[in-house]
Amino acid sequence: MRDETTYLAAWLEGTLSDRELEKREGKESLNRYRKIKEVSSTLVVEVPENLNWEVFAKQLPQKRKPQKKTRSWAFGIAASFMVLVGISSFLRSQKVYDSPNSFNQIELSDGSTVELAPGGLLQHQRSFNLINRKLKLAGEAYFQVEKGSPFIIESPNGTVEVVGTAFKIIDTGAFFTVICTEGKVKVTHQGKINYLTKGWAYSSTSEKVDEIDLNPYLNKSIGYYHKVPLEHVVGLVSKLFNLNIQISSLKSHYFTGTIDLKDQEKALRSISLPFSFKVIQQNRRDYILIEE
Amino acid sequence: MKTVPLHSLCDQSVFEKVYKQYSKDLYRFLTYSFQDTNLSEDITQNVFLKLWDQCEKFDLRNIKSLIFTMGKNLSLNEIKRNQKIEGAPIKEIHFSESPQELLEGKQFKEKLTQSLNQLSEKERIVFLMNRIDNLTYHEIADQLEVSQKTVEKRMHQALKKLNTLLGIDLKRKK
Repeated sequence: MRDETTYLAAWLEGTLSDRELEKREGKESLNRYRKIKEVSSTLVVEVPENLNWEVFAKQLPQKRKPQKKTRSWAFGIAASFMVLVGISSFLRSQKVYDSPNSFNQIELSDGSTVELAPGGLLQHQRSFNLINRKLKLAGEAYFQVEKGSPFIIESPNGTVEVVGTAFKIIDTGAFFTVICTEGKVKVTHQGKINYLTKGWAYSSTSEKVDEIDLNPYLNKSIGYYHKVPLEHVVGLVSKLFNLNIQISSLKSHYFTGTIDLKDQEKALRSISLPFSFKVIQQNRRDYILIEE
Repeated sequence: MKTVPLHSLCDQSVFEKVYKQYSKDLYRFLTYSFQDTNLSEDITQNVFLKLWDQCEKFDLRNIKSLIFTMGKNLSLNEIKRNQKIEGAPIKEIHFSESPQELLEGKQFKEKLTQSLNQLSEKERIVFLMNRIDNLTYHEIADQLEVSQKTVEKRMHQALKKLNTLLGIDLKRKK
């Protein structure tokens, strides 16, 4: 007598005949079970190329060979204690980078590079290495990440996690956007996860992922922005050219376009013309943008 | 003095064998469980990076069980940490057949894929491990660390539900 709780499993593996199943379930069900068996045998799950050994092996840090221990027991304890004290204070200390009024090119100890925009702040533990790759960012930065363990950036509004790729983050506190220029990026914003691949961007304004034209982002002599609050871009120009720029407008404006990062006059035109702002220079460093 | 055993996971050639043997199985297993291929890819990479990082701690005799346990725990932590995962349910599961076969029974296949998402996680894992990975009930039981009888019950339930779901749909169409 077949077990009532497992006879379908027995039929699927061939130890219960079609006739026996038909007696229990009827002809219509038998035909459907046959169809399920036949169709489900063609199911496949494609494994991504990133999981091939040749690709994955590039991320593996080299192992050091174990060294012989020759010191005495007492010396070992004392040395361990000193090392522990040293390590704990070492781990607690942070390395901080800022960029008051220029683009700061930072090379991290894992080989990754960061271009920190004016006004940005980046910090990580001094123990940052290929295994421990966590950073905090406020402001705007462009990252080119070397392969290794997950590279995690926490900013006021979200978390961005990658393995090896290139992308830009702007987090002003009120606005958060991530643009992926290479590889794949995982973005967490308000508890929701979005995955970006090359040419896709996430914005906190729309709370969704959009495809974008990457070409302007890859030109280093200009700054390209897509639907970014105007205040952010004005702040960047102010810091870059050491100016004090105020906007006289009641509306919220979003900037899309390029800004010349080397020429002050061109930069001022970029942020005023699209919105028909009149640029009034009050003195050498103070400007007001007034809505006409 | 503690020495690294001859067949240690810290030996890159051994690690490579372990990776090649289990990484794809882990990826598929996580996809069956959590229905999010991006999560499965990230977690599979993280599991093996952790294994490599702490290779001296692990015993090769239990490595398979350890890999699957780590994968499952890391996935659950990730889901808990982020509360919500945005991913299309088992979107990377396809059918492998000829163009002519594709035309035949297309609706049935679509409905079967949808119905798989309505199975419980345990039922779906057993069903897909058998149908895609071609594992026997004994092998599935071994991997999930449950009895063979439990696997057979889950398979029975999975088939029963699929039959009901597909039957209801076909009646609606009539």
